[in-house]
Parts: sequence; C-alpha cells; structure tokens
Amino acid sequence: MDENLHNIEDLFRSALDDNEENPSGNVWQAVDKRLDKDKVVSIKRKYTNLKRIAIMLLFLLASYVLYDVYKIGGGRSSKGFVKNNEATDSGSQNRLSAIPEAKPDDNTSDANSSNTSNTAIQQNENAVTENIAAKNLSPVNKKEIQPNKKTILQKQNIAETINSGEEDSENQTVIILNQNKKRTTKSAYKVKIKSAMAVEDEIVLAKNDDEQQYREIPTLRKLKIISIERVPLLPHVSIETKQLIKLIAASKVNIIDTANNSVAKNKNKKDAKPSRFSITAFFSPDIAWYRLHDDKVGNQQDNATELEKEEKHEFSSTYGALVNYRINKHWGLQSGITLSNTNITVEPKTIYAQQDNTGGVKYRINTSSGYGYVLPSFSSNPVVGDSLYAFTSTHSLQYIGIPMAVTYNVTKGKFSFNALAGLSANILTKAKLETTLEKGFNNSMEKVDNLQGLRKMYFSGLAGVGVNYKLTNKTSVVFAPTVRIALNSINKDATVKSYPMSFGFVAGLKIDL
Amino acid sequence: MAYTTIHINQTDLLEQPSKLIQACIDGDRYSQSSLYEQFAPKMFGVCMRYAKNREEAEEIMQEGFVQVFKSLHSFKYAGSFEGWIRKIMVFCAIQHYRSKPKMHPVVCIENSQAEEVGNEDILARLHKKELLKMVQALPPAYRLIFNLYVFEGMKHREIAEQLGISEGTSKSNFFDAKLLLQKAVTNSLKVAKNY
Repeated sequence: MDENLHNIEDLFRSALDDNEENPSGNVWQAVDKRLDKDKVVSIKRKYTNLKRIAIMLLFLLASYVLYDVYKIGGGRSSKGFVKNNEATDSGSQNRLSAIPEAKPDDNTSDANSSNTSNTAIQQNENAVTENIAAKNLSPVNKKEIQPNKKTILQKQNIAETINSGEEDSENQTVIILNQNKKRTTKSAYKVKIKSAMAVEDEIVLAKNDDEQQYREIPTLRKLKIISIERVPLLPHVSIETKQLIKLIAASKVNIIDTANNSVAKNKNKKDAKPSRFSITAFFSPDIAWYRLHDDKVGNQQDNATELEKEEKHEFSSTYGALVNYRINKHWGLQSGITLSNTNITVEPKTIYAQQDNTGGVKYRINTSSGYGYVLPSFSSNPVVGDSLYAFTSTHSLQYIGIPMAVTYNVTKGKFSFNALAGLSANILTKAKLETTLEKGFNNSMEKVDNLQGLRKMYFSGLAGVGVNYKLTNKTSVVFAPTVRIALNSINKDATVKSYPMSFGFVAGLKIDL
Repeated sequence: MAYTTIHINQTDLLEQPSKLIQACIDGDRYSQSSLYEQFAPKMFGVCMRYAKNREEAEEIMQEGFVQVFKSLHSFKYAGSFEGWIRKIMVFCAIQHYRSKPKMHPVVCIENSQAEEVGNEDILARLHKKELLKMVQALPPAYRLIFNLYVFEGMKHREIAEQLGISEGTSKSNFFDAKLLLQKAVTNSLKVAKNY
C-alpha cells in the first residue's frame, strides 16, 4: 500500500510536472485591462500628489506675493508718514525763502535729484537753526539718507529730534532709517539717539545760522547730515550716537536728501522702481516628434511601429504671450498662454471599413493623433472589411497651453541669461484630418474635423535656457530654445498612445511693465 | 526627422530576456504581451493543477500575471525567470485558496486494493488530462497540499507555515489526498480495462 502511494506521487509528478496548456484569449485581455486600470490609478495618484504639491506651491507663492505687496505698501505708508509730518511741519518750511545752493554729495548717484535735495537740505538747516533758537518748541528734525552706489544700504531716511521737554530732560535724537537691503527692500529702522547733539552744538546752532558754520557742528559733521526736518518723536530702539556714527561710517552712507523734497523724491522713487512683471510675446518654430506605444495589442494593421514608419512631422510652431513675475534678483515665475500647431503627414495606405461608434460602417483611418471615419460618396455603403486606398493624409493638432514655470535669471550688462523648468497644461482645440481616397477611377477628398480617441487635455514638461538682450530700459529681445515633453499620452482609446515632444526656438520681445 | 521608439525587435526580446524584462518594466505593453505569450502555456499548466477547473485556473493566472508585471522590477536575475514566475503563480493559487471560504472536506476513503501496475503502464492507459482531472477533483486543501509537496518540493513544515496549519494536518491531508488519487487511478484503470 505504501509503495503504491509513493508511486502515485511519482506518477502524477511525471505526468503533470511539465504539463502545458493554452489559456483562452480572455486571460490576456483581462490582464491587459487590469494593467491599464492600475496604470490609470497610479497616474491619478501621481497627479493627485502633483496637484497637492502645486496647490501648496501656489499657496506659498500667493502668500509671498501678498507679503511682498504688503511690504511695499508698508514702505509707502512709511513714506506717507513722513509726508504727513512734512505737512504738519509746513509752517516752518514755508518760512524758508532764500535757499542757497548746497554742495552736492560726491557719492550721489542720482544727479537729477541732487540739486533739489541740496536746496531742501539748506531749507531744513535753516529750519533747525530757527527751531533750536526757539528752544522751547521741542523741534523734530529729519534727515534722509540717500544711497551711495557703492554702499550696501541704498536709502536711509534719518529724522533727528532734539526733545528738550522729555521726561529725562535729555536732548534726544530720533533717526528713522529706511534702509534698502540690496537696493530693493524697504524695511524701516527707527533709531533713537540720546545726546545726539552736544550742548556746544546747540549753542553753535543758536548763535550761527550760517551754512558753513552749521557744517562745523561736530556731531552733524560726523553724521554728514545735511538735511533736517521736523518729525514727531516716536518710541524707538535706543542706541548711542557713537554707535550710529560707526554704523553709518561702516556702511559709507551719505545723507543728502531733504525733508522738503522727500515727498516728490519718494514719488520719483516709487515711479522709478522697476516692476516685477514683464510680458513676452514670442513665436517658436518647433522641431516636433513623438513617442508611440501600442495601446491595443492585436491590431496589427496599425500598431505603433507601423504608424511611426508611415508618419512624418511637418512644420510645427508655437506662439503666445508669457507673463514673467520676478520674485527676487534671480528667481522668477513664468506663465501665460500659448498656441501650438502640429502637422503630421501620413504615407499612402489601405484603410478598411469598420463599424464606427454609432453602429454604422465607415472607413477608419488610424493615426498617431487618433482615428477618424470617412465615407466617400463613391463607396457609401461599405461592409465590414471593405478597403480603400488613402493617398497622403495630413492630420493637424492645435492646443492652447497654459505654462507655469520657474525661472532663474542671471544678468550681465545688457544680457540676461535664464533657465526655466515647469509644466504646461495643454487643452485640445482642434484635431482634423484631410485625405484623398481612391477606388478604381474614383477619388474624393475627405475631411475629418474632429479626430476621435484624443484626450481633451494633456500635460507636458518644459525646460529651456534663454538669453535676453536689453534694447531699452523696458524692452528686450528674447531667444530661448525650449524642450517640451508630454507627461501623459494625448490619446485615450486610440490604436496607439502618442507622447508628443518638441524642441522650439523661441524668439520674442519682452516688455517690462 | 528622426523618430524615437521604445519598441524593441521581437526576436531580440526573445533572445535576450533581460531586454524583454526591462521593456516590460518600462510599461511597454507590446513586450508585456510577448512575455505573456512566452510563459502562458507553462503557467497555465501549473494553474490548472491548483484549480478545480479551467475558469478558476484562468482567474489564478490572470492575477498571477498582473502580479508578475507589477513585481518585475524586483526580479534580481539571480535564478530562473520561469521559476520566479512560477513562484508567483503558486503564491496566487495559495491566495486564491485563502480567499475562498474554508470548507472542511468530508471524504469517504474506502480502502480499496490498489492494482499493482507500473507508472509507465498507467500513463499508457490513462491520458494526462484524466490525471489532471483527478487532481482537480481533490478537495481544495488536499489539492493545494498535494501540489505544494509533489510539484513544488516543499516540506510539510514549510507547507504548514505557508498555509497556517499544523505540520500534522499537512501530513494527514497529503496522505488522504494520495489515497483519493490512488482510488481514482484504480477506478479509471478498471474502467479502461472494461473497455
């Protein structure tokens, strides 16, 4: 018995170990569907993650832009504050009439403003002299510091207050520093200086309103303050005069502006401030190609390999307008709208009648961009399997693209070099096919205005480098070779899955807004 | 204009399995189809032994090939690729067995006297398909254990671990499976002899 059982094992092993059987075709179809489904799920998951990341980035970007705008607003309101003070102080300014010409600062970068600045400086000098002479008026003086090209600090507004009526009965000076970091930031620093002026300084001021004598006042000379204006005393961070002098000396700041001129100057500065936005109109002749995958195995008539052999890309192009937003000196964002055209010709081939989506029998033309059904007048009642000869066909695709890219810019003289990377959502606007069909002596030109089997939208990745040449202050010419690679196929249920790619020679005109 | 394609010549694929595998990992459906066609008959033979009928075998194989394509990236080229696919099929068969509600077999095994004949003779008198049907006719647990022990070469300890049963149960089920098969073979031989 045992031996028999042992034999049973061997019997079945030898009989069935190498057993082979062919499964039904349904198995592969089911596997195929499952793989498709899994792929779609995986893509959806991937895109869900991408969407989340994109939303987060958008949120961060919006926050940054809002913060930035708020900061600009803050800077302006600070200037507004000065303006108000000037308004309250207009009485003392109005009293100034004869304004002697002041010596322009050597390091002043803005030649146009120097004259007005110096004029106003002297107005304030006089005002200070008057105010100090009056003593009990607790005058508030303001000095604005204009940037030196060579300095890191671009702009400083200094207001000095000599407040003899304060609690501690000490002479106090308030210096408001509107300090631009790297010439662009507008953060404000307000510094209170105790004993900014020595008693002897006051005496000199009181005794002598001569400009040259005023310049001889030790404290002010050290500070190189040549503009003074009243501003209200504010609670501020306290530092010693010496520290401020060192600070200013270290940063090589020259003080040249005036309170009298500050509003106009601020306005000018505001006007002169370069916009963060620019717009680029471009045209790009493209070298286009694609990557094809079989979507439906078994359709040997038009598989990816066959279509690749039959099809040839013709002239393709992209044009549109791009808006650039400069985040900082190097980084920026680019978006806009583009319109791309792709034209592909198909070599002559035989097409066959099939049942279309409506149940009718028509001749089906498969292309990499989808498929279309045609029914020529000379063969209006075909049966499934009938064939026709299609001469060279052309199919065209048109997409509206909405790109979103990050740019990195480096400026050198009139040239600006940049690199960009990003994504583009491409929305199908047109998919048409034209062909000439022939049977015997009959032929007819057929058009399919709406190719089937295409997705309404696909995403592509963008990458490129570019160079801008500045023509004027606000305009530049742009040349930027750019690669666009489809991230998902443009087809949904066609014979093949097509992933279009292109290399575009973008040329355009950029205008700073 | 140069065109790019990831398709590889079919002959190349068959000659160089690594290329085929890589193309499958890249998601090339054409290559996946080729790989399926190459291994489907052998794997279906395996699945048929683990299933009670053709439909169930197809279910197992479908799941198996989906798993194969999903797990291809983890294939290390260390052993036989066919063996690796076969392991996945067996794993799917076990999963299939686990997913079914457990039915404890009540099998009446009569102690019939087995006819003393050689395996060659039996094989000559019984078709492979008949033997396969005998295996398929076994209760699921018996069939699974019989397959794992006889065709996969697993020990009872390994089978017990794999199925979450005791080693004794595995041995007992295997013994019962053999008895049932022996009886089935004897009956078939009797029928064949009568003819």
